[in-house]
Amino acid sequence: MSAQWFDAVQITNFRSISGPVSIPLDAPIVLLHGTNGAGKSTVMAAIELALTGGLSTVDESDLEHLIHHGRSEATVELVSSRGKREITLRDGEVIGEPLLDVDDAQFFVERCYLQQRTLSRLLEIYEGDGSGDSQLTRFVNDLLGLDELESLLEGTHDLTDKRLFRHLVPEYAQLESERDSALATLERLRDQPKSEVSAVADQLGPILDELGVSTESTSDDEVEALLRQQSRDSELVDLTARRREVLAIQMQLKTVGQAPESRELERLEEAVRNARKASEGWRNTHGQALEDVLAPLRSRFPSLPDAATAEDPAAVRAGALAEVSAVLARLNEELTRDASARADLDRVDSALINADERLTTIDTQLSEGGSTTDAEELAKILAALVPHVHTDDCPVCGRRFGEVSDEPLIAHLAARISRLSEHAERLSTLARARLEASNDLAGLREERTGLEQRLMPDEERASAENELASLKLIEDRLRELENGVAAGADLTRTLTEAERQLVHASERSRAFAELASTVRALAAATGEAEMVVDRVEETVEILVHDLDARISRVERIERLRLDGLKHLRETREHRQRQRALENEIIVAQAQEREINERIGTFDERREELWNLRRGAETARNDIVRRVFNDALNSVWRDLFVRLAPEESFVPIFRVPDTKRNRLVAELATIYRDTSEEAGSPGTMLSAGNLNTAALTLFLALHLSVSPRLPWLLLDDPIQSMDEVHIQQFAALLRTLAKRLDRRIVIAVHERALFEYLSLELSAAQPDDVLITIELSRSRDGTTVVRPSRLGYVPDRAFTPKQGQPV
Amino acid sequence: MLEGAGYGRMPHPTEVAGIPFEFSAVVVATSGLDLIVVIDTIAESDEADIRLRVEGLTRALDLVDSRRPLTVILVGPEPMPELQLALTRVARVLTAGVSNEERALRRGIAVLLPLEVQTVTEMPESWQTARQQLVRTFPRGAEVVQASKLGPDAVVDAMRAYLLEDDSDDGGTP
Repeated sequence: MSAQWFDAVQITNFRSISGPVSIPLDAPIVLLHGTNGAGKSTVMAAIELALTGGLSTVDESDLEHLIHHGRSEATVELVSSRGKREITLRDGEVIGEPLLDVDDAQFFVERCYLQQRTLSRLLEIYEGDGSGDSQLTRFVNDLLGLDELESLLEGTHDLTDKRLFRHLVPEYAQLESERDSALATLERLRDQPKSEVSAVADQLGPILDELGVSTESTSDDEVEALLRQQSRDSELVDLTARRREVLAIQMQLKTVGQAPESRELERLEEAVRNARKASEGWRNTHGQALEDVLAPLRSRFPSLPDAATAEDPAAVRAGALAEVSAVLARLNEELTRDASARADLDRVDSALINADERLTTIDTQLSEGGSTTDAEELAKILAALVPHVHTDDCPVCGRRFGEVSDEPLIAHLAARISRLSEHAERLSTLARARLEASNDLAGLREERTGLEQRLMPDEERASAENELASLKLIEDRLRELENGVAAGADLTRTLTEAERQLVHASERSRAFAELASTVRALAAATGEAEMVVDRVEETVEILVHDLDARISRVERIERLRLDGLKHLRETREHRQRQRALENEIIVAQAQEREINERIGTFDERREELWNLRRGAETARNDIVRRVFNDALNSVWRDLFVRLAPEESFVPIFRVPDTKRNRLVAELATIYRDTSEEAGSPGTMLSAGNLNTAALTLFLALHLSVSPRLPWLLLDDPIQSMDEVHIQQFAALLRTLAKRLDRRIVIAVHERALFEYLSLELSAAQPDDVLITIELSRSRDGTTVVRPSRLGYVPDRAFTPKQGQPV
Repeated sequence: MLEGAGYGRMPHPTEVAGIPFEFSAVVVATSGLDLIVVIDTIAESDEADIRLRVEGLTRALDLVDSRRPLTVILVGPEPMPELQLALTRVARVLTAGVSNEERALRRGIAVLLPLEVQTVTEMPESWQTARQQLVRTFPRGAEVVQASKLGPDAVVDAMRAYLLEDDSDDGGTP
């Protein structure tokens, strides 16, 4: 036995426990009670921490939350006769040495400490339906730390198959395909032809021969230098330029034509002399006549040119004529307009006399007729009398009208009114007529004033008439001169033409002479053509021909030379390509080697991981086989039967033989009496017995191995048991403590249960003791611990004389 | 059977706190406080009488502040549930049935019998030790094994990390 039980645990500010508390543990059974949240589980967890240095249900990262709220550190101290062992939690770190070594700590967590969480998981598993088996497996895995192993196996599953492995590590597949493509590249590179260099070299030989370049014992560079030296480019340029020049001359020769002969030049000079003489003659006759006519006109038309010297006297004459005619036309028009104005004035004057007379007549009549208004007024007054005339009695004087006339008064009155009205009407008409007549008179006067303004003053008219007469004379004269002048124009034209021909001919002669001298110079420069002075065209032909031949010769050599250079370049390129290809092959080989190495590394590591997986598998199978052994089933069965004597099925673990590598423990039931197999616990057992099965499984796991640590910490294991089960469980606890020497710490939260167990587990012998601890909280939140140590009390049920069983 | 398992029979009739009680048998634990009363339901068929007597016994035990837990073993035909229920309130009730077969009887009173524990001497190899073994054998897989704490995905990641690790880091590859 590697570790000793301890006498007490002192807890300070750990989880729900506030302030320091001391829990005595120096009894075979310690019964812990407290309502939910009082700190039962905390006490259990504190013991676990002190024993193992950690909490199996808490990650290291959460350790800092285990310190009681508002405190900076928590301590858990195990006290025994041998001393103290303290664990402190501060800043998320565990300080101090745990009591148990690693193996013992593991045993403790797996087989001694039944946490509430573990039990509820067990219950879940049992109460679950058909899937309970896998859940149970998970529970067992968890309890034994096999979850990690399962993760390891599941995670490494893809190693078992190359296809899955490629999927897992795409880089591997990538490398494989890279290797394939590297191999293909290598293959392709090795298949490339190498004979191209010699083929090109073969072509170069004859070219160099023809150019007279020796290829023996000269390197490519030397050959290239030689070829470059031989460049005839400038010569070719020179020849081409000269040819262009000769061709230009040829073109000019064609334009110039033949050179004029000397006789023709003399003839042209003669013609010019004749024409000039004729022109002179004309100028002295007709020309002078025209100038005579034109001279007086110059004062009027200063721009008129001199007819004698004018190139086209006809045009001068026509121009003068046109100007004179225009002036004549204008003068004529002005005089005509003046004459018409004078006639109009006469007509208006006679109309004025008529209108005056008419106005006088109207005025006479109007003065005779009196006032229009008087007659009208009287007519109105009389008309007002009419209603008052009823008889022949005059309403004015009262006398009878019959005294003066036979006519009735009323008729007389009507006739009188009528006459008066007519007279008024006539007077009004006369007045309108007078207005019109006076308007007419005014209009005529106005017209007369206008006409008078349009009249030409007399002296002006006289001068216009004089000018008209003199210009008419000049116009006639100009018309007469028409033919003579026209002849003069022809003569002038003939002279001009003759002079032009003469100039042209001498120009051509000069140009030809120049060309001939140029050709001579060119021929001399070319040096090969014999100059044939008489036939310049032929000389040019020969020159062109000669230049063509020389150009094509130089061009051919130049072409050969360039071909040679090209072939040299190609040879060099081929050589370079060949070298590059060889390099590429070397690189590709290196690449392939490297890829293969990397694949090799992958394979090696994969193999290693695969072996690791196999090792894990073997370990797992070993663990499953050895944990779920016959001893476990036997103890489990015994425990289960104790607590559930009425149940006819018993749960067992089965490790079926399977061809697969993985062993899985299955949960099953058998008939208690016949050991025949029955269904899964979930279907075969009642709810209460499932609970029992869960609890007993844990106890069986504890009991089925040698008691490395004979301790049992049970955190509220009885949560939904019926009374019968509780009674049996109490008996079992007693058996564990008293007969199997287990130290038991059990926490319960039901008061009644606590009291029942206090009684049931109480000391039965003088050296026996039961510790009960009640946890609660004071008002200020401090945890209060009330421990009681229940020692042996001699039983008085039986009298001493019969107190001993027989 | 009980007598061979650390219990002793009390003289008949048994006096508890000076009061005599008539039961088929009364047995007490030699090293404990268990008080067991055996009632033969064939011989004692008056259920009301049985109840009175058991309750009387518990009263007597209370009288002397005895801590003895009382167990009643009913041998014979099972009595009415009412009686069983009434008895359960004051004592642990076990029924042994009518069978004379030892196995059935033993099963009925199993909880009173000592626990026969077969143990395996060695603690089965656990994952912890297996893990240490694995890491020793495959030191370069240590990260992968470590990752198994975080689940299969972490294992896959660690495995990939190992497979893709640069050669130059470990220097062990050719």
